[in-house]
This record gives sequence, structure tokens and C-alpha cells, in this order.
Amino acid sequence: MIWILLGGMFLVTYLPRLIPFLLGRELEPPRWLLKWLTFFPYAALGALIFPGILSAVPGKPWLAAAAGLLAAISSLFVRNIALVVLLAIGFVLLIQTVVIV
Amino acid sequence: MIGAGVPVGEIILATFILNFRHFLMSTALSRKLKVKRTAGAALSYGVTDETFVVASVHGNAEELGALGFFVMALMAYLAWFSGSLGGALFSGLIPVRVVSSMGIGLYALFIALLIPSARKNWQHALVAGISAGTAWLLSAGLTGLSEGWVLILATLGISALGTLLPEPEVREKR
Repeated sequence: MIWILLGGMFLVTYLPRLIPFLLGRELEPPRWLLKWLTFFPYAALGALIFPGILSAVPGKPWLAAAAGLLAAISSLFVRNIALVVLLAIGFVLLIQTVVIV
Repeated sequence: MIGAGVPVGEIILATFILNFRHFLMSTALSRKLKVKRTAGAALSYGVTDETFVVASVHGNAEELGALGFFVMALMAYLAWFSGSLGGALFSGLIPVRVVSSMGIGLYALFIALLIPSARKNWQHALVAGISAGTAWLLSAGLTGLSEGWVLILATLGISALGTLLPEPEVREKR
């Protein structure tokens, strides 16, 4: 079972990267398909963030949501992604340490 | 995901959907790097969100060239590998409160990736927003769908909706 999983994961991770390089520049996908594909990352990010973030801190959905809001606001001003991540973690750690909810 | 009892096929499918963005990235990079197919097959292994962004948004992929991209991807891989190794070896030494606080990190990363492009492009912001709302509704316990399927349906459906939006205006520099 684990080998099927590993093999499958390898294929779905590597093939999407590999195929465009193999096809080369001759093949032009239809415009509507390209446009659809451009929205994939944003739709995926939206669906990944929203309901999931509420369970990011065990038992404290409001704290997780607040940290998400902090990350959103700080990423408007801070270009460094790692800094935004550390800020959110630090915030949750601080609240969990200071306030015993 | 295995721990949560998610079926193997679903894990693979979810990973495929999640990784499908690399199809786009590879498409864009393969046009810029101009390498032979054999070299491309090796380089494509190094295509990640980070290397793609650095190569195409941060810098100029055509100037960077195939060798430059290879070196950068190798460095990113080594950093990821050593980080994973360190985490696996020393995670027992980190206090529980710290570990439970780190769960937010992944979401902060997603948010930090999303916000800058959502700010530049309202279509991207709208698609991400509607997709989040859709995923929330689907996972609210009404449908009984698992997390993987919610993600797949929201991604496919709402990105299709995005194609109906008007093209972003191209502001030309004069």
C-alpha cells in the first residue's frame, strides 16, 4: 500500500513538471485551457487557507483566525515571506503563553 | 493524511491537483530556459513554487540560464533536505506549546504567497475568495465530502469561473 502511494505521489509530483519540458515550444495549448490553468493556484490557495486555518491551532479557531489576519496584514508591508510566517507563529505562541485559554 | 485515514487514491489525486500548478510553471520556464529535452527532464525536477518565483518573478529566467537555474534549484533542495532532517531528529526536544503554535506557519505561508498577487490582480483575489467560501460551504458538514475532494472541487470549479472574468488590463509603460 505504501509503495503504491509513494509511486503515485512520485508520478503526480514529477510528471506535471516534466511534460512541458518534453513537449517543447512547438505545442501551444488552447487559450481557454491556459486561462483556466492560470486560476488554479489562486483557487487552490483560497480553498487551502480558509476552512483549514480554523483548525491550525488545536481547539482555538479564533486565535488561528486572528493569526491569519495578522499574516494577511503584515504581508502587505513585509516582502519577506519567512518573516510573515515567523510573525504568525510568534503571535500564536505569545498568546498561548500569556493567555491561558 | 494517512494518519487521518484518507484513501490512497484520494491522496494521490489531491497531490496531483496541488502540484498541477507546476505544469504551468514548467510551461513558462521551458520557453525561457531554452534547453534540450534531456536537460529539461533533469531541470524539471527542480521546479518548485520558490524556484519558479525566484527565476521568473524576482529575476530574469533568460539571463539566469539553465545552469543558473540548476544551481539555484540544488541549493533550494539541500536547504529543504537539511531542514527536514533537522526536524525529524530534534522535534522531540521542542516544547508542545511551540509545536502547536507552528501549525499556523503553513497557513501564514499560503497567505503571504496569495496576498501580493491578489493585490496586483483583482481577478486572482476574487477567485481565491470565492474558492475559500465554496470550500467552507462544502466542508460545513452538509455534503459529507472529505477535505481532499472539497479542495479538488473548489479548485476546478472556481478557477473555471475565473475564465469568465474579463482579462486584466495591461498597463503599458511608455
